[in-house]
Amino acid sequence: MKKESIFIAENISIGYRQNQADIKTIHSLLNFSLFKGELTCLLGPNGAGKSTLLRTLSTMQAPLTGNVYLLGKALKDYKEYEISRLIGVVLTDKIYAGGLTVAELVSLGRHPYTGFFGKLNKKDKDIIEKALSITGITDKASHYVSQLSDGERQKVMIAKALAQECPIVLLDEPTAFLDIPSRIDIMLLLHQLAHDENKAILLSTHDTDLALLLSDRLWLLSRDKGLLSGFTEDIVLSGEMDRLFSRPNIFFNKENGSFRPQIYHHQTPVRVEAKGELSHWLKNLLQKNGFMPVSDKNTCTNIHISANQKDNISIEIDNEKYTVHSFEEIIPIIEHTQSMSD
Amino acid sequence: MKNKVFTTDSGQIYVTCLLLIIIILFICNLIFGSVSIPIRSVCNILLGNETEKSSWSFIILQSRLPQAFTALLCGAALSVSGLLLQTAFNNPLAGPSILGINTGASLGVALVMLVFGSSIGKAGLFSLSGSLAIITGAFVGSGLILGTILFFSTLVKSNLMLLIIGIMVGYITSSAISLINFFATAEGVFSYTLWGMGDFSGVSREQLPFFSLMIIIGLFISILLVKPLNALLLGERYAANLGISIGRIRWILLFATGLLTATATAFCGPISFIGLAVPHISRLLLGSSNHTILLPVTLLMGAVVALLCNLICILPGENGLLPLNAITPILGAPVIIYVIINQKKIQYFH
Repeated sequence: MKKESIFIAENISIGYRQNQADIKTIHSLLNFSLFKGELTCLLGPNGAGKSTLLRTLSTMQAPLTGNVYLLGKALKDYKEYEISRLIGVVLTDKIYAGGLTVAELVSLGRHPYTGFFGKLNKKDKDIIEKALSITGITDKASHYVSQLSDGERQKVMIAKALAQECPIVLLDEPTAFLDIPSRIDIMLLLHQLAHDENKAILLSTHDTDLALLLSDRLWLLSRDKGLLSGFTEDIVLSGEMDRLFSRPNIFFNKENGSFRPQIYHHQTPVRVEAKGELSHWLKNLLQKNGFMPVSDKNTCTNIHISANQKDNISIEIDNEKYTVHSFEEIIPIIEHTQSMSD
Repeated sequence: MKNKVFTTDSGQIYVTCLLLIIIILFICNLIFGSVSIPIRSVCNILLGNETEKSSWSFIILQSRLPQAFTALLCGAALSVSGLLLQTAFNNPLAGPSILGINTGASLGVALVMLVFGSSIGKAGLFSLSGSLAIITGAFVGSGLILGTILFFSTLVKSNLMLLIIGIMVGYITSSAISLINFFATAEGVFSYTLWGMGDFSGVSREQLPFFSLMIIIGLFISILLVKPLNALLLGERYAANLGISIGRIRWILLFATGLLTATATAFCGPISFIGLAVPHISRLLLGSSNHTILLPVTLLMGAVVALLCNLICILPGENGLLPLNAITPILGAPVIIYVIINQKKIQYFH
């Protein structure tokens, strides 16, 4: 079944218009679609224009040229109150709502629906309660916002966006400044919202590991190469991830889906014989120290490491055998014998 | 939902209590003064009955009654204007006097009083057109300063820096007033200095309806802003995403603040600290930043504080009146110091 696209951009250029003469274009001729029921992650280095793109989509700034279509109608033809019912945002802005309870803050999400004084009816209260329960903060409802941790605050802002009942939720770096458990929490929550509540969720993040694990679609944005969007697994296997940061000392490891530092100095090949996690960490150790791990038996090398347990590692260098009991001892032995032979 | 989820729930109790306190303080303001009048006579005068002395009737109806009403309205106006500024600038230490908006109003008043004073004349100052001229002067002056501060707020993101700019703008405005004073007549300077000490007796019974109308319009507009004010607690961009038209709301906010501060300042002088401290007292009392309840409580609390200050001013009895601006800092400054020292424990700072 083909997913339903909700946002479509046709040849838009984004940037800032200082005045008539001074226009700063960051990207031009961008084309993309955002789909319902999918979590989309916007990845890119600092300064690539992620925030500018999100601001353009949330109507905080207009595209310089071209049009963004929301449900088939140009974004600029919507009224402010219509947008507030279609696009919910979670920003990195400082808020001053420490003196509100969690329930009160979430109830602000009902503003597009309530009357002049913002009085909540039964239906509003039900929706607020549901938003609190989906985000898992029902038992914090009567706490002050100021008493929450950063991760809980982020959940409250997501609950606010849910109370807004928008089919689209845009989030600007929702996992920045959070500790690892909170990051995973938030990303899982967003993934679940996209799939269970059929929302189109777009978030910018620097957390590529989690993005690859949980997002359905990736948008790669870089200053010189523009926007590349595609299904997560297709993008990873196409080798496009390497283009994200065009730096010689970073490479993308397709096997475990993470960016790795490339250390160049000696690059002596070392044959590795190990399975599973032992193989992974042995390779990690060797790469970190500038060796090139190989598993191919035909490669010509005079260093050979085999591990069958984490405390039983045998090293063979120029037909001489050593046995060590921890990873810590491996590199000194190799380097010692190498300096002897030099 | 569980109870105490919304901080507005306990609001009615506070509103009722404050209304009772206002009534009590209002009566005290009528009873006490430089001339002692028995309570029974005060009641008789208010009920329109005959009293022993006709001068007592004059004192109550022409002096104490308008003064109490003025204090009530002026306190409410300054406090609400302080609350609007604190939310609009997302700065708990903003207030009409700190940001120099009082001083701006003073400049307008000084210009009208000292430069055009001779043409308006002594009689003119108390006439409707005279007070209209002074209010217009104060409104233009405060609006000018508000606009300047708003302009700087787009350049300076730090709250503290914006406050310092506000104080600097206030100093420049004060210098302008001093310069005008230098060129003015001795008589003009004298009346300006008296006005500058702050006084709730500045509104005569004839001016009271006009004064009240202005303040009530300002307060009414403020009450209509409750919903956008709550949204502004999330900052401008979140508020805009909730469908609030930021540009329009800012202008309405500034208009209401300007109207309230200008009217209060034009008639009663530049009264300090009420606008800054009362919103804090109200937040601490309620434990909430929710404007649905915070705005009405701030309004009533402002009336309470102003009536109390007025009562303290008349304490010397036959020996005369204490200047209002000698009392308000004694009540207001400790509140601000308390708030700053305890800001780690106070919810609305975070």
